[in-house]
Amino acid sequence: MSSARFSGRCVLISGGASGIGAATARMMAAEGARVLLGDVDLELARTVAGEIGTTARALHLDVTDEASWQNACATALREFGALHVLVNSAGISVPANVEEATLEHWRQTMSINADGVFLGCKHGVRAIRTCGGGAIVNLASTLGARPGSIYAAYSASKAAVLAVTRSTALHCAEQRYAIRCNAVLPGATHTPMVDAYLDNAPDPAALMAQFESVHPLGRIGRPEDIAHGVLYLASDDAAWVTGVALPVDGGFLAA
Amino acid sequence: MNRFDGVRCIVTGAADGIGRATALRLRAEGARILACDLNGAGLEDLGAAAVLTLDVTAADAPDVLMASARSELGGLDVLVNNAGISAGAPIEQLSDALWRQVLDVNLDAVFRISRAAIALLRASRRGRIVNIGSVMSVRSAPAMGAYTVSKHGVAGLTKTLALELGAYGITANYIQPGAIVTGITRDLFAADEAFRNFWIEKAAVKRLGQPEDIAAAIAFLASEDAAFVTGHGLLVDGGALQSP
Repeated sequence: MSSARFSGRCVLISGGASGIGAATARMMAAEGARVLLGDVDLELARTVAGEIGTTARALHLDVTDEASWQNACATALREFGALHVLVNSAGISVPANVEEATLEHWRQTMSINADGVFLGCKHGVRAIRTCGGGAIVNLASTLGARPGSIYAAYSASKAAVLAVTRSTALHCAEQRYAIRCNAVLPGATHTPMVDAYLDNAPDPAALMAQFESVHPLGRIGRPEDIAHGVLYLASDDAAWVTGVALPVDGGFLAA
Repeated sequence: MNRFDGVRCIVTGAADGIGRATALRLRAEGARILACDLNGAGLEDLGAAAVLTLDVTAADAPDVLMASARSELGGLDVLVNNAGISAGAPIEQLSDALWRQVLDVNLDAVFRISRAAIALLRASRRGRIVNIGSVMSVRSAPAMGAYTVSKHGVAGLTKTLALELGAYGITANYIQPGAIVTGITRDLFAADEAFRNFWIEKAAVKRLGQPEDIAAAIAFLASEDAAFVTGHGLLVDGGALQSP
């Protein structure tokens, strides 16, 4: 019953070359979707698309650039004939507390994580509604709901993602577009982003132990754990779910 | 591939509404169901592995349920505490008896059955508890005092279960349904067009929820897909709580 939830669905994934975006692409393709992987790292996106097979394509997508989004949506419509699902997964995180963070760091983080999701929703809604409706899933973070001291800009950018998610959900509902919009809040997850935290930490083992200790399930997430949440919200199983924030966080926010 | 092949599930309040839709959905995905309800006759066409006529508030209900899970299913992987009632009156007119009745069914029974299930769930490699909260787990409404308190209680209970049981690989989550057409509400919605329209308008997606909407969310939280989701209250409310 759950093996082909995305049969005939056309999907655009920002940040699709790695981490949660790549896991989502693989799992949606396995359930019948055609997936367009957008990423600033086109080579890596091509590699992942090649591994997935003929149902996957790759394109260069800079989420901070409006023309790049317009091109991505047009490419989905041209290559696949439709767009039903948009997953906004592209994001960055460089730890810095409010005293350390420079205005440049703040603006770069907000540009990719917040502007990127805003532009994705703006152009995704336009494309999806011409195809009869579908779903948008945004990757926020538990830090958007409960900020951490060393993630000042990142937490703010993810709080913005939660607000954009809700306003997009309400707008689409008011306009009767049949487009749902929801967010997933990952806890710490084994992705290139979090692996970079660990690589740059003075004591990576201690940081990993700290990550594990704040997640009641006693481990950090795998990209596939998070992708399962994305697939649920993007599927018809969630037909009456819109504007919500689903933590996939090993219980971090319950603690 | 079925997500619930061989998975052993208890669904309380399975004769109607969300419980019935959940039992049917999990069974369709391969689960073996132990279904219980006050209305035992309503369980016969579910295709359940075993059925029990049971009042979840009875003193021995948790023991009876777990004994049945052991003998009929050989253990337990998923507990869906669905049985619930909705009854209300403004606080000034709310009797001790009605208050007690709502809390007995909606909260005490969930606590007692969850407590009894822990030993069996620990023995499973994918233990799951899914409780039914409500949008009233975070909000309230006039004349809904007892119900609101019971559903706030379900939220707190579930979060504590998540923290205590995470180390055993057991997750605990709750659904927050919005206005759903169920055994509890069907007659109300049918009889009162203004009431029905109020709730349709309140939902961003402009329709009432169906039991199958909730069953799909329960199936997600009960599945291996949600292995890293715990302590969460999942809104399935058509966007009602996001509306101004």
